[in-house]
Amino acid sequence: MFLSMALYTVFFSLTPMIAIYVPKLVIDSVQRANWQSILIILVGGFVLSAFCAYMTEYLRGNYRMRFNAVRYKLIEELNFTTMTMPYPFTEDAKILDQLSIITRTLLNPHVGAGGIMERLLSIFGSIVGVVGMIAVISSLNIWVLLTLLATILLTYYLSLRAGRFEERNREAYSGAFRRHDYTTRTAADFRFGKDIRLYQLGGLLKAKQKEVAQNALAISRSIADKRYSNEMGIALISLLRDLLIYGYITYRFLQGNLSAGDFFLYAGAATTVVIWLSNTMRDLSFIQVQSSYVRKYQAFLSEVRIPENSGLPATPHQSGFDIEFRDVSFRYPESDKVILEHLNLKIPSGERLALVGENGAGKTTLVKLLTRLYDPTEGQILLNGRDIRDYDYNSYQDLISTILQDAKLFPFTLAENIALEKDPPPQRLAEAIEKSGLKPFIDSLDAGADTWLLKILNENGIDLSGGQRQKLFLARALYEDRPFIILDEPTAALDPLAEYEMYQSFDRTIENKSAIYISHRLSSTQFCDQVAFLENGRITEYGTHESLLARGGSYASLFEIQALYYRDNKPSTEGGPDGEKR
Amino acid sequence: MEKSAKLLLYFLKIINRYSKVFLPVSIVIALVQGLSPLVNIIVPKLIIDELMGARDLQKLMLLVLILGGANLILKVIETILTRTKTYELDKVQLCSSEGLADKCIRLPYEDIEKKSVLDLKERALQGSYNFYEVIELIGVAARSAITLVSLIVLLFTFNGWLIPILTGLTLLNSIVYKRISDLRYQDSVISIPMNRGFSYYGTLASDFSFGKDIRLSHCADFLQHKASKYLNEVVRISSKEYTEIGKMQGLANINMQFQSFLVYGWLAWQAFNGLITIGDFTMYGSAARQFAQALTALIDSLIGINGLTMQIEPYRDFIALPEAAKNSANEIQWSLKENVPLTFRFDHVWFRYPDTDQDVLQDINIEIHDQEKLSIVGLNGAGKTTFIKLLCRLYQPTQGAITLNGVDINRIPLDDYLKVLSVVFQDFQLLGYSVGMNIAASATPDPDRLDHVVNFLGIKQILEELPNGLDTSVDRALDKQGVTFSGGQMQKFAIARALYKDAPVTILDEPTSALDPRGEYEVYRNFNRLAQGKTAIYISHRLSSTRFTDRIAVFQDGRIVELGKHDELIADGKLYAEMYAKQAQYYL
Repeated sequence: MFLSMALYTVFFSLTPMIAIYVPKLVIDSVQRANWQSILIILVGGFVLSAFCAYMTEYLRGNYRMRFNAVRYKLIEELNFTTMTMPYPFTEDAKILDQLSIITRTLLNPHVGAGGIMERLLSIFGSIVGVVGMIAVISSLNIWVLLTLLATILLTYYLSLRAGRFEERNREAYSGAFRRHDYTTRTAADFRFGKDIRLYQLGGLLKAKQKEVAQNALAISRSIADKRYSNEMGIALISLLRDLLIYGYITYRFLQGNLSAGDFFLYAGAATTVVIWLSNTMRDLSFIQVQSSYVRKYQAFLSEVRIPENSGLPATPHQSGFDIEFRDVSFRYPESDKVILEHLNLKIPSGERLALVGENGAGKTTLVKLLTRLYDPTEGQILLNGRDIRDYDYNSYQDLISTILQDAKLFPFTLAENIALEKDPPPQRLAEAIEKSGLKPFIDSLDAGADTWLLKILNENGIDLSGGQRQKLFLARALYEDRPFIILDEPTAALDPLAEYEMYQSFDRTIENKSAIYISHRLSSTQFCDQVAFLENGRITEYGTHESLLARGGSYASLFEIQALYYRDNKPSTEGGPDGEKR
Repeated sequence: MEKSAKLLLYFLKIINRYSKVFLPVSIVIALVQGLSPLVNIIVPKLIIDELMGARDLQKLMLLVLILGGANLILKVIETILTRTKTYELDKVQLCSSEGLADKCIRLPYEDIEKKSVLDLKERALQGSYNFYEVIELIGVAARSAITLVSLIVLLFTFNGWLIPILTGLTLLNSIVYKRISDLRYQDSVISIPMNRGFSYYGTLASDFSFGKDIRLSHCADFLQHKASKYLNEVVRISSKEYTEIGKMQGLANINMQFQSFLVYGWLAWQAFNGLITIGDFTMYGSAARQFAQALTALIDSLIGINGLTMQIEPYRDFIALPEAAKNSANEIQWSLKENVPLTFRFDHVWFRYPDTDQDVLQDINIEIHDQEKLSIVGLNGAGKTTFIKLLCRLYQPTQGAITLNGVDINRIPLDDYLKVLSVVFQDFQLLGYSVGMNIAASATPDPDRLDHVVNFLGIKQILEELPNGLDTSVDRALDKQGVTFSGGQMQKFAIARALYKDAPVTILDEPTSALDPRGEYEVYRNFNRLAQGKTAIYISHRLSSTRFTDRIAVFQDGRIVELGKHDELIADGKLYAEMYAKQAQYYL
């Protein structure tokens, strides 16, 4: 990459030199009536400039290829960092804002790192070329040169001012366009189609869009106005410059100490240096502005990255895993609201715990702490008596499988969705499919477990019903075969029969693992050994389902609410499959 | 070529529709820019001639002034007009985006779920982002064409042969350019799926709803491995392309150099023999150089435009899609009147989704009485939501008819019909505007009505905890101060929106899946209150909620297999009884 840059610099800076010297030499030779030298100049000039012209393009292609690959590597690096950075960052508004700026910059090949690399190629050649031109002009008259440079600097200052103004308004400008685009994107998003039609949201969307459009155009106008006044200044300056250069070389010619060829040479050099120097300055200021994005990128990476090796011990390879929450309190970063407050809870190895509570009681937060997506603000979580923060992070997480409320399908094959790793052992995969109850469905598919899901990456991808989805997630957890399993609201979207089936397969497959089961359907608690009732960030009731019902507290009252309608109808459900009950 | 021309014409028409000023201004700018090289070719020649000849000082000063002055005037005109152009260009861009939004809103619902329409829409959106570039290229083409014409006139004064020779050589380059653009096109076709694949992983990485799954299953390595396949392909294709383009562009450059040296040689020969002056030599020399440049730019931009007009096509086709028939011939006058009972009837209704061969609904017959409370239950995929979609006229029955008070609902003007219904879909969506606007579905909510809804649903407490109450934005897409609400809270807002609309028929599609038992209980209680004196339809998997409805319709495989009161259906001992028993056993 550096070699092609160095060569490019040489050829690139030679090109304009040839372009202004050849006509001069030809004119001089014509005037001296030397036919041979004309021929030599033309042929020599052609060979040289053709070679330069070919090489610059060839090297540019070569360079673009290399820097393009570098840019993609940067994108890959960013993607990986985004996927692995500590979870709290993914809910941190400040980090997310930074991330969106960095991503937008990196994806556009003409700004940020890509833009810098693009300009960097020619910048050295431009500088060398400009120095050469300046050397030519300085042989004419040093004062002319200085005045020329002054006008260029003035021009540069004016465009810099306009550029700064644009830079200051860029966020507002592109923000307004983004907001404008939001309406179009939303209107075009078919998931909004039903609500838009039934509530005639078109009116609201369009009113908001018009409002934003006015705003965008006002900013656009102010930028255009600023640019206009600067351009006017630049036009005046270039008038002065033209008068100066042409006036001076005309004067020198009339004095008799400039040949016609020289006249042409200096006129050409003056025009070229103006263009090249202002391009160079534009590129330099561009690089200066854009390098702030690169610095942001680097700062971001170093802020969010997890250190590669923690040096902490791995979790033990044994069968017993006792978990204990000891006096755990938790607040989300930059929030005053206490979610968990001095919570104490023991989950002995092999126990099935039902975690119950109202929306917002802290159930999901508790899971986030247990899986180390967040660390407690106060207190400790212990694994076999040792703080979980004193184990290696990844090795600890490898103890727990989770089936989350908002678990996601990837647009890959069924098998890949289950294994989530390359080259999964077929035996283990088959076992997970079998146990999860997914086998009959997979067998009914032509491509079996190699069937693609979703249409995002493959046109033949299929979608799954709610029940099939949950079975797939169960299969994922079974494939992982970790000693601890957490299920968060796995049956919310299922019909009664699918829900029942889910309960059954859960009960069957969990074997001797520890498990936490979170559900608003309190019926599910009856598969569990213990019920913990979470209220206002504490465990307020703990015991078996029967003992809590007998106690008549909050759990009992919540259960009553749900049971109410079923209970009233007792006679009609007699003879239900009582034997299924644990 | 003809197709391109048509698309281009269409494009110009659109521009002119959105801004009357843009095209005239652009034409004048192209003229000014196109003619300015001529000034800088002719005047220096006159100066040189004067220097080599009479050396009249006054005339020389005048010429230098003319050179500077002409450049100044041209530049000033260009600057003034560019100010207008920049602004008008933004206007065109915004308006064309609004055109798309408007179209999306007006399309019939059944069309927007079609894959062909979805694809077309996506391409139209992508295409509209390229409008700037098309306009830019049209400007370059116009400017180059004007320069070219002016130079042709000039070169004719020297020698008529020069033009065909130069044109021929330049056209030689156009072969190279054509190859480059073919190569680009081919590679872009090959790399579209690769690019899409790779950029999908970018989306995946920054979509934090996947955040927990990715972290807890430790599958980031696996995902990166999968992405790298696409990445390597993308890099390989583009590397090949860039190297190849570099070489070809290099060849084109050699040809350009050949041209200019050929012309120099000829001019030098003429000057050597005293046939032209030194001034002529410089003038024709730079004219020939600029001729080649302008011709190249023209060809380049035309090839570019030719390629980009294809981006206009999806936009044109999308805008031309037929909209919902607003005033079809069968339409009748109909308006919602108070105190007139509403009776819906499904009369032998069959339905299958477009482009499928499965009847999702089969021979549905049911009458929904005024102020009736109807429950709809059944297994996932039995056709419950489709039934609602037909009632909402999002789709039309494949066979049979739905009537309202005896009138086919399709004969009622759509806007009037929709006033009858308040619906909360399972997958309801809120917009990124304020909570108040979302509830009112309007940019100008009625404060009294909002207040009533808020009190009625008991969401005052949620609102009081918000930084800006009802003015708090939903999510942070449009407002950094926005709040990300929980599923339960969003659901309450969606129900509030239905209540605010205050239509005589209310429909709730599986509204409680995200709620805890108490929240669920409250929703039913609230909904019962809001449904007082109204017709109400519930879809629910919670069979406990069905008991207090007047009737229950049980869907199975697209048919209504049971219809009646709770006690009757339990007594029948069929699907409903089975589902109920499965769910109830744990509560006994």
